[in-house]
Amino acid sequence: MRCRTARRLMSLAMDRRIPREEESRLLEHVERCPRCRETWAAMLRAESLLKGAPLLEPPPTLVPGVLARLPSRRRSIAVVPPAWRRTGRVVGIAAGAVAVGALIAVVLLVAGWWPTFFGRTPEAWLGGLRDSLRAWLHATRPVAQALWDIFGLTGLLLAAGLALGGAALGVAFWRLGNRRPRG
Amino acid sequence: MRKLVYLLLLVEVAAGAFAFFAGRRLLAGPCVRIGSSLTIPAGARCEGDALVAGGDLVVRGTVEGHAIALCGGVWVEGRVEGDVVSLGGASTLLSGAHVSGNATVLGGPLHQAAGAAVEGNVLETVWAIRRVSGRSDRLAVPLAQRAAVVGAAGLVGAGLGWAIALGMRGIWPHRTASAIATARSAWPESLGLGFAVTLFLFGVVPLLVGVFLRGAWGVVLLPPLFLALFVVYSLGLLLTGVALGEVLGAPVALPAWLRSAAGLLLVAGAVLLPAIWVPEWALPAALVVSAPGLGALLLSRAGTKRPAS
Repeated sequence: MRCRTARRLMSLAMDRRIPREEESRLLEHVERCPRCRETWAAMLRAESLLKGAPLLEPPPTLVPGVLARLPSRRRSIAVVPPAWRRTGRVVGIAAGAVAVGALIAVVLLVAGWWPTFFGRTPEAWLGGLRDSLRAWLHATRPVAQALWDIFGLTGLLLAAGLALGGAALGVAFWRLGNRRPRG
Repeated sequence: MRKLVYLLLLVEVAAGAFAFFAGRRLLAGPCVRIGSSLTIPAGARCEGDALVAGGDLVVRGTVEGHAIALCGGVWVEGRVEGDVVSLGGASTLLSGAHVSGNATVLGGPLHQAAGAAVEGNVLETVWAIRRVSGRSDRLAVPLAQRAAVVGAAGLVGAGLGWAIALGMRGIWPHRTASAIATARSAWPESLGLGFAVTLFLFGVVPLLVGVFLRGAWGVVLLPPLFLALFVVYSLGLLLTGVALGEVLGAPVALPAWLRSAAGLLLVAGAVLLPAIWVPEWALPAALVVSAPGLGALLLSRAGTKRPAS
């Protein structure tokens, strides 16, 4: 047995994790090799020291203290139990699929295409789509014009004021929300 | 520093109230109505366009410009010098009605009597889901029936939100936990930021819609815009509900799934209960309630940053 292999086996032997034959071969090598014998003796001393030492109860602040020092992504691991995560993944994907499906169904229903989609030729379907687009164009121009006629410059100024005021307040709250606590 | 946050929140509420009342004043024209129906009586004249949003427009007199109903129908017995446009409602042109421009109906049928004249084109696109009646008719539905509909909508919404929250915790556990922790630990800042974003969007979105309505490209750009707003505000509502559930459920040691469900039910109630009496309040209520969640989502950089402890 080589010294490197023997040293790797020593810690396993300490934990009783190697078969007896392997352990016998290790001890034969330890008897022959003075350096390995020294290492083996040191490991035995350390083990007996550790076994003789009194078992101390960790202070209650240890775990929160360690968690607080960990990087943020690591720290939040403890927040979510694994069972929750496993169940949540399946339920969440199913719920997301339901939500997306419902949204698509509503859009199709509102657009009026779904009830007439099946059993129609592609030309007829595209014709319906073209009619919808034409109706949209005819509808939106007067709406845009009416909105401008009614709200005009005052509406534009009010909208601009809201946008600027909202942006200024947003920046203020963003800075306040990101400030570091004192101490 | 907290005093400054509360002071800014007061400023924000004042700005929101000012914008609300200024907007109402701006909309208080004789031919403009938001959230209710408008009738132009026989012999009366609208010098310009007549616009109704969230109600029906009845024209018995004369409209010199366009007659437009958004989420409502147009009923014409008199004269319209411009176009008749109805988005999301049925339109009726009675005998004796005269429309100088086009008559366009998106989302409902156009009933045209034999004696009604339309000089331009008549375009009709019937949506499968049609708005059945105007606001006055909606309110005529018995209270118990409205409460049942709102309750069912709240339960479905809260249930779907709960399942999505569960999924978010499963798929992005760290991000979700960070956003919830931010909503809890920095709620005034989150509320302020969410409300500020809403004020900002109230200024920007109408401008964008106005620009998008001026061309065919609006068909392509408007749905993603509203979809994005829907998703962002839904996430805000969801985070507000889950964070509220954490705050209320933690002292009594409720399990995590029950805390989320309770919070989301509370949020659904806060948004939908006023809608039993005034349906138009549901949207403003949703915007206000979603503000803390939306702000927390932004402050935590979509959950990638933990709150400062």
